[in-house]
Amino acid sequence: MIGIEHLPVLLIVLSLLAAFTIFVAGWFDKKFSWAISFITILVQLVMSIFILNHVLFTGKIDYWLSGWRPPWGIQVVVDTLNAYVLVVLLFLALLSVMYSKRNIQHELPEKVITYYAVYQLLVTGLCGVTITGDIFNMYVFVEIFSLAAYALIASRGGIALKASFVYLVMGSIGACLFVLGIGFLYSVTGSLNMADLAAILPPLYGNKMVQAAFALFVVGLSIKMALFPLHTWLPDAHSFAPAEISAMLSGIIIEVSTYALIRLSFSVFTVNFLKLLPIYDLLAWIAAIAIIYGSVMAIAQLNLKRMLAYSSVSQMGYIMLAVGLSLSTKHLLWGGLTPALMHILNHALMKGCLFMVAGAFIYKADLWNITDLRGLGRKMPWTCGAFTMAAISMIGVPPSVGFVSKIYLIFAVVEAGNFLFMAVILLSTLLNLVYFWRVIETLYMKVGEAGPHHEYEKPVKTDEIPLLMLIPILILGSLCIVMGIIWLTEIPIIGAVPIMDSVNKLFEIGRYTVVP
Amino acid sequence: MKAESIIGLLMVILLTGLFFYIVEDVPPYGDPSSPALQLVRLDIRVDAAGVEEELNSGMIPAALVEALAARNFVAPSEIEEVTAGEWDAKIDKGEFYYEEDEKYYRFKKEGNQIEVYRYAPVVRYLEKGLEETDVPNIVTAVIVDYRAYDTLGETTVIFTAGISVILLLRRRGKL
Amino acid sequence: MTKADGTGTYQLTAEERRVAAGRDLIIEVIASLMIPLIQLFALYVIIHGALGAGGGFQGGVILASSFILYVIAFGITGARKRLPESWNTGLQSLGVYIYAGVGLVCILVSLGFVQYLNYWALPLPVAYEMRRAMGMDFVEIGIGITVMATMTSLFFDLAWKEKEERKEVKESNEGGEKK
Repeated sequence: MIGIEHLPVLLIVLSLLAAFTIFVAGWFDKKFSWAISFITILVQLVMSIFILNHVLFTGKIDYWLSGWRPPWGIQVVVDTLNAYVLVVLLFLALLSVMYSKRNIQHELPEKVITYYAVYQLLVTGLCGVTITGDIFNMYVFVEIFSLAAYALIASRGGIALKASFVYLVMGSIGACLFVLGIGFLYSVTGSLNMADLAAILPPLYGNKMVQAAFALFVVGLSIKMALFPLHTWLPDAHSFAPAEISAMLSGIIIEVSTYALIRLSFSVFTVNFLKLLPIYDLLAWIAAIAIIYGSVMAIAQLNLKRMLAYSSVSQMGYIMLAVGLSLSTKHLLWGGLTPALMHILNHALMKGCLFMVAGAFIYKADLWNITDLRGLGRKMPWTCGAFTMAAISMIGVPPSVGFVSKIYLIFAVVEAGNFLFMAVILLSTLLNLVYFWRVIETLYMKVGEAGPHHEYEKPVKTDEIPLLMLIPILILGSLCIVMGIIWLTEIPIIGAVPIMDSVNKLFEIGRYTVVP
Repeated sequence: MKAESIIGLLMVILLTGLFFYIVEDVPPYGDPSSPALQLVRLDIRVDAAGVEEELNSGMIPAALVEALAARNFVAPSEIEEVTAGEWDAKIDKGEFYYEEDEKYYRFKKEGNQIEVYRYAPVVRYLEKGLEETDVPNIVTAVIVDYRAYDTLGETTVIFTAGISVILLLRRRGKL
Repeated sequence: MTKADGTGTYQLTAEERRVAAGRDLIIEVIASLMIPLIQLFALYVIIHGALGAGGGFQGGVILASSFILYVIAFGITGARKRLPESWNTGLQSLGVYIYAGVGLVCILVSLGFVQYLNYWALPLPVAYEMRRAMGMDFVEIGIGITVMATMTSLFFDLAWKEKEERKEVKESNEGGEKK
């Protein structure tokens, strides 16, 4: 029967057909659009868990599209790195869809049908980047999700159009540099398949076109993942997008671009190329500057979503620091790409929760600035509770998920021997504490509309957000702590450590480093 | 000077510098034997001592198979001599319907070493495209048959652009 | 028609109606001759993409340009009646349905033996290579339909927006004059 190797492509095709069906069925009744989108993403999540299960216990999936063998046809390769990013992506997409039903009814009631169709195309593009094994195919799907992201950020109209326009121009330049790099590699090797390129490229590492192609890939993907000097589109785009699109943008879209960079630099240009020149050391330094810059700028913001956007810039610095150090660490637990991959999941959980809570404040009472949030801790207890959990996780209090990321990163820095990075991480923890504590203090300890005497006498009536918006926030908030305990005790049920370990083995870094 | 003109000047300088950096390694324009069109050099070489007689008689030499496997290339399954000192090697494709072997490597004797080259994918499209897909227009055959998934992605990009304009610009009507 | 005693409504003749709407007789006649020929040529380009230059994308754009010529010659309200919004929406999805659907049919008919978009498994009663060529024809038609519907939808959106803006400007001018 239909074997499990068809599942990755069927996932993409199902998502595409659902997008078109939403567009047509919405013509008849508006309520179908949310339902079709939700059911499709749920089915996709279940399929991706099956794929992860198969890849962990049986081996990688290798699929020849249209029946032709790889250098001549397109190949879909799913190994543990792919399957892990796919599960994280679809989980956050499902929670975003659940959250968006009431939010979009409130914000854009007349554009519901096209909104969900474009959202489904965004999910299609993101999944397509994750499963492919061919670099030109990766570019095509990068274009799909970029276009959908530009449209979704601008969907509110007004000033969001300008923010999305800046993102559009910068994102298009990034994609242009990316395809230029693909062109350079093709003109020198004649092949577009990742495994094929990895076999042909070793004698060509001194070729200037190949080095220029790598530089173009890094810069083009850095624009899409908002690494330090090229991050300027991020704060505006986050502040004015609808809340769940901010959560998706910060939690998934920039992280899929990070995945693309990891895949290109470790699968196409193997570890031997990266050790020839100190590229990753330079990347680690840029990431360290990004960490400090993001944290300092976040302190200066008044708007809550803008503050969280600069915090995202800082967290991308964490991931890139972990990637930059991945060549020099050899331990079982924190060697290789393990801290980077862990932080991809952790950042998605934490930032998803924070942006959804910010959206909840806007939904309830149109409160954008931090100073306006006074006294909401009593009026919306569950929402603010989840915000506190995610905030203390970002600060790094044990046993939460942010603490696990930071402690593994500190161990990796100590093993790599560069103590300046440890000072950077500790300083940024302190700065995180400053700007998150400001919000928590305003929520809980400042006085609301009722005067100072009444606060202690009469109970404040809670006025919570609707349940469909509350459930994703609570799930993400509680997962911040629960997942942290799972990471710390390394419960093998989830298979978290075997995933990172098999990724290290595939790329020959970490404790599988081949000593020449 | 305005900020935009300074940025434009910087971009021109950057791209010109990139061009001057790569210009010595760019394959010549329109060269019919460039790596993307004909053969790419794999930099695998074997001593020609015993291997040449084996290749001339049509057997697959074990030294070559070993050298290819060390770089993750698949072993050939058939050798055919083209001219004196050059051999075409075919591999077993593993595809379902066209089961004959496909020309993949070229072994050339240079000095007293045997060099391995590989054919570009375009060679198969040009030589066998009409026979395998029954369509004389090779461009259509490549984009709709050999690389059909990319064209699905491109059509989706066009559809996304259309929907995005509906999302952002339409103000009346059902959608 | 004005009646003998001067009462009754004054109806514009066809010529005056045309001039008032900004259209021209020559363009109308030529367009009404050319549009069917352009559409026929577009279908020719789509189907003959396999034999010569052409294909789905090219034919789809030519088909869309026939609708744009109709809008330029006859005005946009009439064009919207000829290609209603529901048809436009349906056609946009239909083309890519055909494309993705052909690939799925390949998997389902062979019960998971062939891969996605591998046209040999299509249940057509011809030889193997011709099955591949016919699969490609289906896909090209699908691409042509989607490209045509998307281009006309883009054009209509931009043209309606300008029509709305012109109407708003005219109304604000009249409102200013009335005051």
